Amino acid sequence: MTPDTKESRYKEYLEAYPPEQRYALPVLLDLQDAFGYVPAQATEDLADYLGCPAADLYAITTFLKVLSTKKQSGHVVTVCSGTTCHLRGKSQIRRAAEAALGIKLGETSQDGSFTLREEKCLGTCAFGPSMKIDDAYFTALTPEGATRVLERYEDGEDPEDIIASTPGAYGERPLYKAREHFDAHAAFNTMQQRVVLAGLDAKDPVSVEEYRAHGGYEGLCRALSMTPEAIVAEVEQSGIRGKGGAGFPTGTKWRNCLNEPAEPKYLICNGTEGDPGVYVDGPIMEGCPHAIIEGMAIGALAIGAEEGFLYVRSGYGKARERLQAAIDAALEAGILGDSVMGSGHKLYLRIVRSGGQYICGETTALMSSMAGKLPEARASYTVHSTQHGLFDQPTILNNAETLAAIPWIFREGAAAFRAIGTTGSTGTKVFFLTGRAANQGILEIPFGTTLRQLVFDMGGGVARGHSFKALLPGGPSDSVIPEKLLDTPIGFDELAQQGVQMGSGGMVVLDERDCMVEMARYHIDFLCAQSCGKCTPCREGLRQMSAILKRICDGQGRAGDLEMLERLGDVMTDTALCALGQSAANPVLSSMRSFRDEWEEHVRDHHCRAGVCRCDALSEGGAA
Amino acid sequence: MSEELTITIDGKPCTCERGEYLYDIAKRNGIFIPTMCRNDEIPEHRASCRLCIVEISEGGRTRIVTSCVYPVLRECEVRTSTERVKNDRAMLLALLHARAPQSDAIAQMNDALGDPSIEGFVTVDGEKCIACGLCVQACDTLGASAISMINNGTEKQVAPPFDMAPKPCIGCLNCARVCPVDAIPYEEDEYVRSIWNRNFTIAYCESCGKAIGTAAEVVHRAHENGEDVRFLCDDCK
Ligand SMILES: Cc1cc2nc3c(=O)[nH]c(=O)nc-3n(C[C@H](O)[C@H](O)[C@H](O)COP(=O)(O)O)c2cc1C
Ligand code: SF4
Ligand code: SF4
Ligand code: SF4
Ligand code: FES
Ligand code: FES
Repeated sequence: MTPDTKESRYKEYLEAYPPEQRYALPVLLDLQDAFGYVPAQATEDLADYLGCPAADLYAITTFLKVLSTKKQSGHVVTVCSGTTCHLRGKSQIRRAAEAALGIKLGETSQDGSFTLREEKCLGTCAFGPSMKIDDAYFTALTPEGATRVLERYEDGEDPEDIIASTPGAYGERPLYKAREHFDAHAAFNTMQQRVVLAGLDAKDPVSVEEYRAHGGYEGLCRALSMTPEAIVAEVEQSGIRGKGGAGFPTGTKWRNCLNEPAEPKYLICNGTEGDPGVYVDGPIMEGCPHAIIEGMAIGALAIGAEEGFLYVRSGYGKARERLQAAIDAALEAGILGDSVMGSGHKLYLRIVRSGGQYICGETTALMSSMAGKLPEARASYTVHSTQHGLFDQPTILNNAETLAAIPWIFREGAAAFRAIGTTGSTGTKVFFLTGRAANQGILEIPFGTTLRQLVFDMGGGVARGHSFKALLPGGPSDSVIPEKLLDTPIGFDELAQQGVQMGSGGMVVLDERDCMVEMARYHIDFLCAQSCGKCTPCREGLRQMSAILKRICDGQGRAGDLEMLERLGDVMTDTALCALGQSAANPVLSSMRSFRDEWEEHVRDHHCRAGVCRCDALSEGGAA
Repeated sequence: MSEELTITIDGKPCTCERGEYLYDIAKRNGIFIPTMCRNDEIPEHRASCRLCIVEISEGGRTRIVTSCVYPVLRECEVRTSTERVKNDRAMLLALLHARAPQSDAIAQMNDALGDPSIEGFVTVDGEKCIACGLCVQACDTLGASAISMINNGTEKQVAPPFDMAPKPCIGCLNCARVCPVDAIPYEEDEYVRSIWNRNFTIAYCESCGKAIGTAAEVVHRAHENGEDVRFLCDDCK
């Protein structure tokens, strides 16, 4: 059936987009927003409209946690499931919310007045555990406090009154409060070097004028006077490497794409940020939207792209709002559009909402999702996205932080950029210091700063009376960093030599109150819900790891469990299809290497030295 | 402009074209590599089961690759049953056996190539499907795109949309036919075939009386080819 032979109830939502499969996800998200779910009939109508199978659309709806096949309505209660809130007892908050509302995560109460969800990191880590009700933030929660707030909502009290009379409640997210709070702590600021975050203190981050007043768009002006070849050479000379995790040299990526003859070419900014303990790209997109736009414009000039996309996490509403406003302002100012700064080069940037699971940020899954298909990773030993990327065309995919650093390189020159950092890792890295750190928040340091300087000099160590235990880069598949590695200078190769990863900018500080086994379990359970589930080692290996870790944390560990975890981990690393599964065992394997005693205590003595796993309490199911 | 290369697999020199998949080269040379999600009728390989792993030494580096999607681009040395390959594969089979305890095919392969010392896994009771995705691919290429892989992570499974009898289904049985573990149930007698909670009338050739699939399938194929609907078998057409 074609769209013109059948009138659809959902017509206005469908026809907001052209009938092409790549618009499948945007329409599904719009339907979810409008109706609280994706109705079966809407799915059929959309399939007719796009000319794709309804089965494919249903697969997307069931894959992505932001979409639902059951109606969700009422107040949306979002419990933070991020790493820092987890350390501070988010599970108790979740249980309190489930009890107060009589529903489980992902469900809507029978009368339709509340829907309960979770989202990794609400961006208020410093005050966690946190919960959001609609747009309001409730921080520093206790289970009792959460229950009280929810009861008041249930009683129909005016939300404004509830917010005004609840300590730690905010009508909207307390932006960068953490940073201001620690302005008093000198080193947190003086040791920073701000290349990417230079604009973070802007009064109006969306304003073109304000951005230009501080040298903004000068880099783009300079790039406009250069050939594509010279632009790429400048990026190569700067030595900048990608901040999305792998540290791939950005110049090489751009050159590979420049060398491809096929047209059109595309440029994508990866703003998925699916890691549970990282909140770096979010603040950059919110606070420095023009730096990302300028970086993308320079990238587009380098490869001759006329269209660019910003793939932004669904939960990052504020970031999308700011980016859109900044794009509109740049269009207005003639910086984007049919003639970039009057040069005759055409460039349009569009924001696309990302589904949000961790796998959605992986290159092949991301591009598949943007083409309107399932965000599954694809097996390929030879195809590169610079050649066959988005819509099978040559594409540059860069992380938001990578792109935000590009303008500085063009304004100040590659040599100046190279002068910062180490030989192998030039420039700066933005980190999000959180967990048990005394000083928390977002900060930017030159590469070469040691982990110890980051945690102790800038972060102020852990709270008085507690002792540092370990550092976790915030990704779910990053290795645990023990105390003895803290003198390692921060750099891709420097960390890799020690067998740990840079990660994408989270730095979660753990102290003696935190259980290494339970942390590993948290990450494995996170991955069970965040992998695409395509291949055996990842899908089934995670299932078994999760079961073994649950029993260890419940005090039911058996002899041989640790060896089995190692065996499973090795096979997952060897045989998984994509980097998610290949690195999924890292949090377990690395933790067992550095904290073997603690793991053995759990299994042998049914004892948790941190007192987190209630190993010896028979009735309690341990820490969930 | 295909280019010929010679590689060695388990010590045997094998010639191949540049870009050919390792698994195909091995097969042509009579070297057995176990597979589950590979089917020659399906052009694109999902490479989801990972059972076809082999060890490859190439340019001074030795690693595990999945042979069904590994294109040979230069000279290399391949070993199909090193200790590492056998260990990894045994674990994959144990994992699949725990996921799909009802599957005889997996149980048999696990008996032959598995490692009995791997035990204590949680099982998905009553499950037969290994989530390889072949049925969905078969339905997309040979059927009517009626089913898909739904959910993600450990919840991944095959289902028709909204768990209802799928409207586009034509009862062609391609999904059930390609399933390596016979996980898709169907029934049929002289008149009716039932699959995915739908019943289809069996069609017979109007000329010779031979069964020619379901009526829905005949209609679907005619539409696909832009032909008039004729209930004739290939021989009588
Ligand atoms: C499971 C997985 C998740 C990923 N998530 C992200 C992400 O959220 N953001 C990101 O920029 N890169 C992510 N990446 C890395 C991307 O695949 C890609 O390498 C990166 O965006 C390239 O940008 P860069 O070169 O600037 O680092 C992820 C990779 C994997 C394997
Ligand atoms: S490793 Fe995990 S995320 Fe990657 S393809 Fe396999 S199941 Fe999907
Ligand atoms: S029987 Fe139905 S579901 Fe199976 S392949 Fe044919 S059309 Fe697809
Ligand atoms: S039903 Fe069969 S073919 Fe389909 S995914 Fe399961 S095992 Fe594979
Ligand atoms: S707000 Fe909960 S972890 Fe960041
Ligand atoms: S046969 Fe190669 S991965 Fe399944």
